[in-house]
Amino acid sequence: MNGMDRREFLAVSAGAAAVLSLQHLGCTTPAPSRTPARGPFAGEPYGDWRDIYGKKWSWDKIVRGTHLMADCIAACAWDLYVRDGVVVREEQNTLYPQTNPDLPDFNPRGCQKGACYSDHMYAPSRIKYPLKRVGPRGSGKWQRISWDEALSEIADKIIDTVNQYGSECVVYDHGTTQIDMGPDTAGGFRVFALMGSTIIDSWAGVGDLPMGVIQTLGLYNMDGTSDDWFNSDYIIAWVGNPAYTRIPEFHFITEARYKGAKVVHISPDLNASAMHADLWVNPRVGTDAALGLGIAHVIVSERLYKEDVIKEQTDLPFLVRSDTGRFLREADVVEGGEETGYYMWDARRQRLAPAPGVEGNPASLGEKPNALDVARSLGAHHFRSIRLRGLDPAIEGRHTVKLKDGSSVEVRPVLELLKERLATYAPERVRAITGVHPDTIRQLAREIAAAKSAMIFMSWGACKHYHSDLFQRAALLVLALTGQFGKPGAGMRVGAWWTIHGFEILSYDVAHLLPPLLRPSLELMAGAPSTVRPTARLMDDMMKVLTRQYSLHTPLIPWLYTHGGLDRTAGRAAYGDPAFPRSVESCAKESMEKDWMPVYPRPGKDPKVFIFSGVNPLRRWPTPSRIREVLWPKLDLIVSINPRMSSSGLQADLVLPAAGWYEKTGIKFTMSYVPYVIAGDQAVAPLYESRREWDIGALLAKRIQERARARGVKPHQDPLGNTHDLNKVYDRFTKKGEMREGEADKAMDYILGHSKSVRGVKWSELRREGATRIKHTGGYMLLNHICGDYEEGKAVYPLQWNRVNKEPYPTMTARQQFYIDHPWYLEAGEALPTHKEPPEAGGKYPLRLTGGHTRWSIHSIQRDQRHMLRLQRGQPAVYMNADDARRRGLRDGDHARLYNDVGSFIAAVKVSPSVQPGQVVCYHAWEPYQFKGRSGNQEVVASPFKALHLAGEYGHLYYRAYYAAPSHTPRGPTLEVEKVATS
Amino acid sequence: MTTSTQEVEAVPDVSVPPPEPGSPPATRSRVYKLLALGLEFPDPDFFEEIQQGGYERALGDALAALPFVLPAEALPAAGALRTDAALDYQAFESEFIRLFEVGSGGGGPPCPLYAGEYGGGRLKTMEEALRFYDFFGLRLSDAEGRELPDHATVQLEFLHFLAYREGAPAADGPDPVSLQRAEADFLERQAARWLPLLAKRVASQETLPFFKSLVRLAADFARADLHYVKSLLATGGVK
Ligand code: SF4
Repeated sequence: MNGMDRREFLAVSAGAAAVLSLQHLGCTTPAPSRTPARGPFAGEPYGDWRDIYGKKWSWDKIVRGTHLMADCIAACAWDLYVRDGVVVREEQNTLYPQTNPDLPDFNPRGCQKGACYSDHMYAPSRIKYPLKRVGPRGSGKWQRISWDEALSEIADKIIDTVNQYGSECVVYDHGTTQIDMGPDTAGGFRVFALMGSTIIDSWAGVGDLPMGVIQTLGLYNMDGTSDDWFNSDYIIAWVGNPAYTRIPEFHFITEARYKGAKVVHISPDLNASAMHADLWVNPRVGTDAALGLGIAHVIVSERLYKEDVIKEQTDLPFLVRSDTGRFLREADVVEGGEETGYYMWDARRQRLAPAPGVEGNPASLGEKPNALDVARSLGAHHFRSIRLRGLDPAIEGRHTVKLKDGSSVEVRPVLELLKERLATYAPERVRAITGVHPDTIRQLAREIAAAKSAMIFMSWGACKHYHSDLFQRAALLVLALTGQFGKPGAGMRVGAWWTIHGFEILSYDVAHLLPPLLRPSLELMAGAPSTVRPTARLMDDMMKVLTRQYSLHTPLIPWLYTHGGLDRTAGRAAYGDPAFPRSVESCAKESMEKDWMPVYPRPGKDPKVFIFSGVNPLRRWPTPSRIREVLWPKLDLIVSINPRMSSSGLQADLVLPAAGWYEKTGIKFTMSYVPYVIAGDQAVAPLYESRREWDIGALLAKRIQERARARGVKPHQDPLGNTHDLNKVYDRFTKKGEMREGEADKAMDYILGHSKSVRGVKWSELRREGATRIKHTGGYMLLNHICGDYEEGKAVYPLQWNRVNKEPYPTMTARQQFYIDHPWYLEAGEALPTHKEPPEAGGKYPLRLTGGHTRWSIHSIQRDQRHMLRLQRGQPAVYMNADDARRRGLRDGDHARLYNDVGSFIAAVKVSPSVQPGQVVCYHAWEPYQFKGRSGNQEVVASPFKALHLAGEYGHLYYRAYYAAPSHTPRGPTLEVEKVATS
Repeated sequence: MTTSTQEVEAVPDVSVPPPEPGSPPATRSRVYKLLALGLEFPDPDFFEEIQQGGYERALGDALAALPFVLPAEALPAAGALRTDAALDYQAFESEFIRLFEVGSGGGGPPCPLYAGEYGGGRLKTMEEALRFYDFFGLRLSDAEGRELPDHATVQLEFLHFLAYREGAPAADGPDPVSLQRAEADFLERQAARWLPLLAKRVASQETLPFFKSLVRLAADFARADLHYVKSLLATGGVK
């Protein structure tokens, strides 16, 4: 304040010399002239306010930006207009050149949230400085503290916890809301991975894990570029709403339709995407598997299937024993035979033939492999192929084979069993389940089979029902039977990422824990040329080793089951599958005892420190009030790192302000829809005292290291036996000083330099240009299961390696696997795809709650953004069918209590003929604080999960980070609705 | 693409001779600054000043010297601008955070100190404020933790600056009428428009009398000052 503090200013008496004291404002012009270029101080008089608008279209600078850490499943380049350190507007740019005249280009990209992020970044919910709770949790009483105090408090608590309870009792959750591929996301993971902390894996925890796709294909992050949708002549959006959730990509569907493609939409409600379709099919909620099986029934009974494709690409020719229901194995037939050798029936020679290319169990590397194991495995996998090489496997019939003990057993190809199953899904019966007319089912089957390229857009919303896996298996069956995959414009599309390998290794830096010779082979595998490209299975093996043996990834739902009270609802028999004789409890016990599902801290030990960045657990997790009741009291310290105050931040002990998206540099989520890596330059300095997450991670590591040294802390072991040293955590974080706090751009160059997808690009160029065309898909990795190659000017489509190159799928049978002979699946009647009614999770109530991603926010980010609220009801609302509403005396705009045995919430009612009878739709991500009594729509979500998903060590069914695990199931709980007075 | 920005000098031009002590511009300028100080995040030293009555006295003295009379209901009751002796700094700070900075229920504080939160569009309001500052040779300071252009403290500081320069007899300085016109426009379009809305919100809160009185005073003063400046301009400006 010009050398004068507040007290001094007060001390100047009113009659004394006047003092000009400016704290917030400074001169525009440098000394010594101090003469502004314009305005009254430059002799230009001020007439009225219009004078200040003289140079309206001028800025200090225009910066290439994007919405860096938004989990919006897109990447769009924007220009940001900056005036005096304030972003005053943003504008889509058009920097994607057309590279193929036969395909539409990507211009322009954007959405309405991105277009008003500048308003959101300045919202008063921004946190200005570190806050420490001074009242009870949730009381809203805060004290401002310095970064120094906050970091010291966290560092000391972490050290105490590691010393007293073990490093796994420090738990870090990055969730999925605020995530990108730049140093800020990596920085968070990095510091906690280096300490041996528990890292929450929220993929299935969000309910985004397509377990049925994993069960069938052994992979799931498969998609291509969205211009490949234009190559399709039959597009089905099934349990998805791309008009809401894929806004920058949606035009490719419309353009394909202009070109003649038929667009079909399958959803219970007439949503915003359905209105753009040629055919809308509306099955009853939760009956999509039956519809899929009805379509498959028609395909099989009318012999519309592609025999050559299913013989080669699926397990439908694999032989199954009629006595046990299990695959016929080499171990059954040959003394000393493999458990993972399977058979087909050679139709020409009328004898058993081993199935070629089988992958078996994912244990080829062993638990802690060395370089030799990797090399051996690389060689072994590399030459595997599912090519039949003259073998003509029978897909029908019964055969008798002799077992090694001399007895005989009847075996049948999977297709025979499937036919029996499908016989129960004749269109007329399916109508009784789904409400869909048999003619429509037949029409769908015939049109899909006849299409040149049919694709199914399946969103992550299609993973959030209890039996979502059965639906996905049925849908994949339809595509497999008709050969609609592994070619341009075809296949199931789930979403995929270009691999940014540098990001992954910066995030989970376990190199120092690995045997020395293994370190270079890791790098080699990621960057290897395609001639020696490791197979999907080998990469899966590697990822399993790295994320199960060298880091403490813990799938959220089993973690909440163990530590967060989820057992109280998910464990209720009434909310589970009556057809499965085992209880969730017994399966969970077995799964954890056998370490199929790792949970840290192990049952019996409590988590003590919980730090979450960006994620909003008390908005998203099931039944937040129970989380507060069960988990919260176990935690000695809860820290929220976030640009804004979320519902979860309100219940934390410390809240650290993170910089917003335009206030830092970074690399946007690299979704494969767009063949560019989009980057954001920093437009303005972090607001207030906020800091970017990279710096927060570095500073935290630094403080922990300082405090550990001062306190004489010894190295510690995590529960896996890996040794970590808090005395060196900052040195490791910074790679011995290579990239410290304030040096995120060096980390950026590290990321780019280690990523084949952007080979040769420097950060200095990328920040200037805002985007770079990818050079390569980056290879099969945690988030990339495209299994296809990138060629400049061509659209990318998934499963090319398998269909065209005949590479094995990373499943147990190396094929699209529709038969799972795990004992639990057999007991549950789910060895083959089937339909099951969703459980009454919530109790016996007549309505079911569904939902979807909202159009007007990115999860809870911008859920309270004023412009977005104006485009909808402006408050939490549910959509109800007119008859259902009338029966309950509800009129549009009334408020209602939605309740079941688990909880309740109050919301406004929007009466809509687009909603099915029996269905109540609540688009997601309202903040609990937006509801009356802070009780949000997750309060009625019991979230039972399928015990089957706890199974492990069966071929491709095992847990590793971001892979097979039980899911959060927020869609489909039962409930009732009653009118309440609006106050 | 990045184009270079104008160089910013953090220290404003204070080298001009000050206005005559006790003159109307000097007094008005001082009141604006004192109001801005009251709405800054409180530190323990300043809290002590408030508690011991130093702040109330300083404001009272300045208000008494104004060239116009504030309506009686605008003047804070005696003792309203000091805090209860039993109140400690932490409670005061925590209430400031609840009321103006964070809130306790999510979605931001109940009474944000940003003009753009009270109508007119946030970005438009901020941009207009920046244009006013820029026209008078000012930019936001680059200091860490800098405020946004529509924050009450920044806007009050700008008015403090305009009034100060209005009364500063610099030979080569701007025409004081220009400054008075700007004061009137800035008050009308910004400060005097929204501070009353802020005061209304604060009045509806259960909070310390200090905050209620201070915000009410800021709103009433801004309105009264606007009236005063306009009356001067109606007769050609400058008095
Ligand atoms: S929020 Fe996502 S989809 Fe929207 S404009 Fe930004 S990057 Fe694109």
